Amino acid sequence: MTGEARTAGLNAAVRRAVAGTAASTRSFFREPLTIALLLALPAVSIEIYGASLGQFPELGVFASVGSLETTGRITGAVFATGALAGVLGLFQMISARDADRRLALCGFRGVELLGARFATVLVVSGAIAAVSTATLAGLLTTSIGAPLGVFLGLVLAGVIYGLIGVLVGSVLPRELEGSLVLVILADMDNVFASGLFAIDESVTRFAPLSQPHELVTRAVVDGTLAVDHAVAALGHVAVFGVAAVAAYTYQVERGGDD
Amino acid sequence: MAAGVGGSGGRVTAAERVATAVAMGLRELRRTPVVLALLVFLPVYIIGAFVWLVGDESVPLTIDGAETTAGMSAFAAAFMTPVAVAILAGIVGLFLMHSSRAADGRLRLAGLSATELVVARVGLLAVGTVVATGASLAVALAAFSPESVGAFAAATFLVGLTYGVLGVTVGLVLDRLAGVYVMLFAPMVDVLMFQNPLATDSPAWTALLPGHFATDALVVAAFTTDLAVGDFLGAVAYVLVVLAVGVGVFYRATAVE
Amino acid sequence: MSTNGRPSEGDATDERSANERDGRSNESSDDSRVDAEAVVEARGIEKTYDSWLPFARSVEVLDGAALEVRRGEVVGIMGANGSGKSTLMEILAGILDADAGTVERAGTVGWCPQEPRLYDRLTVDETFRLFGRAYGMTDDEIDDAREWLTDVLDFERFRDRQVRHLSGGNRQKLNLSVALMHEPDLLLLDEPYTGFDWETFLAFWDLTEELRDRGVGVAVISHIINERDRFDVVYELHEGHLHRETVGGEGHDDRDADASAQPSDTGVQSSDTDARAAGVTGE
Repeated sequence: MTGEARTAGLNAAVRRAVAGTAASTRSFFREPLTIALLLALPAVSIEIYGASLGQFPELGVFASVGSLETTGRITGAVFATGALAGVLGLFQMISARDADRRLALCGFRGVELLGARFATVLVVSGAIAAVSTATLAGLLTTSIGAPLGVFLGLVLAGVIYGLIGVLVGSVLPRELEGSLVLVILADMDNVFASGLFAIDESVTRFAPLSQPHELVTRAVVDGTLAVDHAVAALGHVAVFGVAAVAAYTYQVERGGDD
Repeated sequence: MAAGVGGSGGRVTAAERVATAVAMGLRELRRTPVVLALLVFLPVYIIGAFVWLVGDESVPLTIDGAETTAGMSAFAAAFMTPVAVAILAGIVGLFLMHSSRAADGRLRLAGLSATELVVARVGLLAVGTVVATGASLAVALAAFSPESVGAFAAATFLVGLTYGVLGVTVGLVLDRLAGVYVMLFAPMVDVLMFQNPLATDSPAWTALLPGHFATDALVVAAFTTDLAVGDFLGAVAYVLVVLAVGVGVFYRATAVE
Repeated sequence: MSTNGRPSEGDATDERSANERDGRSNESSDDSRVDAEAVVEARGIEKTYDSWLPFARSVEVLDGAALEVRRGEVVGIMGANGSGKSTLMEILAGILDADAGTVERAGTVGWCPQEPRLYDRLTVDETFRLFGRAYGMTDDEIDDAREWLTDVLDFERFRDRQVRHLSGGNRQKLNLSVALMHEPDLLLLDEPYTGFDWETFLAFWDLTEELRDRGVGVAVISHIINERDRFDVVYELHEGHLHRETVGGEGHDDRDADASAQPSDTGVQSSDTDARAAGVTGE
C-alpha cells in the first residue's frame, strides 16, 4: 500500500470510529428515561444516602473517615455513577450484539467497532461523573478539598462499572435482567466499599467500587489525591477491560444469535 | 351495549376460572429463569455475604425504645432478611405485571371478570411472596436464630407482601426499566437505611415508608421474645392500603367495556 | 351467546333461527346481507391520543368514523400505515374507550390483535385452556375447538411448545385461534395473516368463508390491495374518516378468485402470484 493510500485508509478509519462513537453516544442520550436518570439519580442517591446515614449515631462501629453524612453523600455519588455507567455498558453490549455484526458487513473493522464502543463507555462515564461531581459539590455541606480528585474517583468508578456492564451484557444480553443483576451488584459492592461496616480491608479492596470510593473520600475530607488507590483502581480497570474486550470480541464474532 | 362475551355460561364457575388463571400464572413464573435465579441467589448473596464479611462485635440496638445489644453477624442476618424478601417480592410483582399486561386485557375481553382477574393476580402474588419468604428465611435461619421464629417469619412475609403489591403497581405505572430501578432502590433505601434500628435519629416521616411497621415487628421478633402487636397490625393495615391502590390501578389498566 | 362445540347445521342462536323462519337463508346473497342484523354498529367515533409530555403533539386518530358489520358479512378495513385502523378496531372490540361516539354490539366478540397478546411462557395447549376457561367453555368444548383450529391452521405439532418458542407465523395462528375458539358472532381481525405461508393463507380465507356462511360478521384490517374482492364491503380509513365501498356483488365466489385471475368490480386483477407475494410478505 502506498503512503497516500495508507493515510487515506487511516482517515477513513478515524472517520468511521468517530461516526461509530457518535452514533452510539447519541442513541444513549436520546432515551428520555436515560437522561432523566442521568440527571436525577445522582442527586437522589446523594441526598438519600446522606440523609439515611445522618440518622445514625457517630459510632466507632462504623469505620469511616469524616462525618457519617458526608460518607453517605459520597457513597450515594459513587453508587449512582457506577450504576448508570454499568447500565450504559450493558446497553452498549446488547446493541453491539445485534448491530455491530451488521456494521462489520458494511465495512467497519472489528477493531474500529470495539474502539467506538469502548470510547463511548469512556465518554459517557465522563459525562456521568461530571454530573455526579457537580451534584456532590452542590449538596455537600462541607467544601471539597480537591475537586479534581473527586472527578477522577468518579470517572474511575464509572469506567470500571461500564466495563462490568459490558461483561454482564455478554452473559445476559437482556435489558431487564441485565439491569437487575447490575444494579444489585453495584448496590452491594457499594455498601461494602463504603467502609461503613467494619469489614476486613483485605477483602473489601477487591470490591470494584472500594478504590474509587477511597479516592473520592480522601479528596473531599483530606483534599489529597490518593495515588495508591488510583493505581489500584486502574488495576481494576485493566482486569475488567481485558475481560470486556474478550467478551465483546467473542459476542460480535458469534453475532446476535440468542 | 355489549351483549357480553363468553364466560356468562353457568357451566364454568368463577372459581374454576380463577383457579385456571392462577395455575397458568404459576407455570409462567416457574418458567422465568431470572425470577428463579433471583430466588436462589439473591438471599444467599445479600444475607450470606453480609454475615460472612461482618465482624462479631456487639452492636447497640434501640428496639421499641428499649436498648439492647446483639452480635453484629446476627444483626446482619436479621436485618438483611427483609431487604432480600422485599427485593425478591418486588421483582416478582413487577415481572408478574410485565409479562401479562397486554394479555390480561384480552383475558378480560374473553370473559374473565375484573374481580376474577384481580383475585387471580393477588393469589398469584401471595404464592410468589410465600416462595420469596421461604427462600429468604432459609438463608436467614441458617445464619442465626431469632428469638421468636414464628413472628419473625410472619413479619418477613408481610414485608414481602407489601413490596410485592408495590411491585405490581409500579409495573403497571412505569415501564420495564424504570420499574426495575425503583424496585431495587426502594427496599435498600427504605428497609436498610431508614428502618435500621441502629439509627438513633430517625426523622418522623420514615414511619410512613412501606417497610416501617413490618420491619419493626421483624426486629422485635428477632431479638426479643415480645410480640409487637401494634406493628403487626400496622403492617397488615399498610398492606391493605397499598393493595387497594394497586387493585384500583389494575382495574383501570385492564379495563374493558 | 356461545354454542356447544362446533356448530353444525342444526345449531343456531335465536336470532339466526328467526332469520331462517323469515325465509332468509344463510347463503351469501345480497338480499340476506342487506337485511341481516348488524353485529356491530359504530357511529361518530372520535379518538385523540394526548401525550403527557408538554411539548409533544397530540395525535387525532379518529374523527367522526362510522362503520357497521352485518351478520354473514366480511368487511375489510384499509388505510395507510398509522392511519388508526388498529385504534378503531380496539374501540370496536371494547378494549379501548372512544372519546366520543357510540358502539353497539349484538353478540359475542372475538378480537385478534395485531401483536399476539399471549402469555409467552404458556404452551399452545395451556393457552387454549386458559382462554377457553375465560370464555366459559367446558373442557370438551375447549378440546374440540383446539383440535379444529390446530388442524385447520396446521400447527398441531406445536401444541406443547411455549409461545415464546414459536415462530412468528405460528404465534399468529394461535393468536387467531384464541379469537375465534368460542365461535363469536363478531370477529375483529387486525392483519390476521401476518407471517402465514401460502397454504395457511388460503386456509384462513376458507375459514372466513365458513364463518360467513354461519352468519358470523367478520371485520379484517388488511393492507393487501389485491385481496379487496374477497370482501363484501371495504372501508378506507383516511384522515380519521371511513369511506364505505361495496365490493362483493352477485356471483362473488372466492373459489374463482383463488383459481384464476379474474377481473373484480374495482378492476384490480387478483392473480395467484400477486396475492401469494402479498400474503407471504405481509407485515
